[in-house]
Amino acid sequence: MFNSPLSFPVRMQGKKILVLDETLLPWEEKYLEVLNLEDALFCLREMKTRAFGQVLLYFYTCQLLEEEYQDKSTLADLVAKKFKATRPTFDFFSLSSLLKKSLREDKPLSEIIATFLDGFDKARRRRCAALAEVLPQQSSILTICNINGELIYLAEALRNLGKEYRFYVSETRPYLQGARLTTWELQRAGVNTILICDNQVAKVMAEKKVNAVVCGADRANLQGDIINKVGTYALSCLAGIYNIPVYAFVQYPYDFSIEKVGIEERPPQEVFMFLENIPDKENIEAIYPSFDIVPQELISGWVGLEELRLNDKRKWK
Amino acid sequence: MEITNIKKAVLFWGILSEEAVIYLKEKFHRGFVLVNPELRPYLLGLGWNRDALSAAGLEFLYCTDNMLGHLFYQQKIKELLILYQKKMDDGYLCLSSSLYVYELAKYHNVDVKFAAGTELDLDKFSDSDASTLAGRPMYAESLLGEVEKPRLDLIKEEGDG
Repeated sequence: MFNSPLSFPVRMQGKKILVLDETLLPWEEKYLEVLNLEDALFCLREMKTRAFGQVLLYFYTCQLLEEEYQDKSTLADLVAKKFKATRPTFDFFSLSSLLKKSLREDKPLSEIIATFLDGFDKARRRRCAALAEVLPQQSSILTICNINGELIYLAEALRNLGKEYRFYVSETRPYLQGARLTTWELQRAGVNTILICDNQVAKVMAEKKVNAVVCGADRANLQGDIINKVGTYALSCLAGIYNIPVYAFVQYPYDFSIEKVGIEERPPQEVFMFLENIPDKENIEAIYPSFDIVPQELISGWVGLEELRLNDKRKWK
Repeated sequence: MEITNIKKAVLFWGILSEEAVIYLKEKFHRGFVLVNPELRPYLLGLGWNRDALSAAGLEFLYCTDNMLGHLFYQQKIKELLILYQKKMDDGYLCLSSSLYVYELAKYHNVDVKFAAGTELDLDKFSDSDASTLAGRPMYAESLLGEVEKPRLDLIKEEGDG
């Protein structure tokens, strides 16, 4: 099956990092060159990459700066601090903790990171296989935003089990990651995909056109609360109302209070992305919370890198 | 405006009418923030509804439709006003996306009211589904696949608003 460029949207090439500019997709497949920390922060700030891309960017930025720092632990924390200041919702310190645990004096960062990422990708494929086991024989999956190629892994796993599948994709305003990224990568892979507006999710649920919701999670705590792209909360509430299970891909959950996390509010003018022709939009007062919180009781199962954990306390069964 | 500064808001959904604007004006003067959603695919929040509110001198807060769940979760929305196209014997014929906010409002115990909206020909909008935004295709034409087109739908109201 086709492998999406979004499975690994950031990669290392010699002494530079190449970042797939996701803001240009699906019209143009262009890679930005990152030569230093400032370039990396620019990519984060301008949403050139996100989700798994920002994880890759973190590791490769550490690798890029390795020669400048004697103490790799200090480097890991410094990059995490800078990244976190730029994108507060994502917990880059969990990545620095992971990296610090793997540090060995006799091994360069490049080797440590390559081993880690290889293991991570294998774990992603394994968890898609595990999720495919619990999805219906005829799966009609509603999704939001983009999960960096994992839906293609999921489609492959469903096919290997002889299950039928199709995906409904919520367009995910204002950046349209659903329309521009997920629809793009799924259709390139030949997967049956139906694009809908974000406000159509209740309608397709009410008409029984979907029988599962699958989403990602930017952060997850041990209790099972998650933070993901704005719109995920509404999707999860509605899925509960219509008795549809919600599965969230989570990685490295840890102990924190979800309500204490500040939801990142992006500059309001960013809601007008792709709407260049709207007159006088500078004078429109707008908000842009870029994520929302989904409490544990709305989630049916957490698809972790090591296990699929089902929720026996979901508000709806 | 930061979300934390919103004390109470009224969300409206549908195509504004003069009657609805008068109602919202009263809410505005009582300190409610008027949440003017984008309303895809037609972008009513940036077109018809924006014009109607501006003509009445009403300030509003704009957001995309998928942000409304967060506002409900934060308990900012105190009332939902759904603007229907036609009143039927057993409910209201509304933009089919109305179910999205109707169910969210009920789930969050938010008061739902219905009022007559303006009847417009939906085919006159440049966007009729999620494949375009302000007339611009949103994915590569070579990959054009299936797109679900929204129209009108009946909402059976529980109790009168």
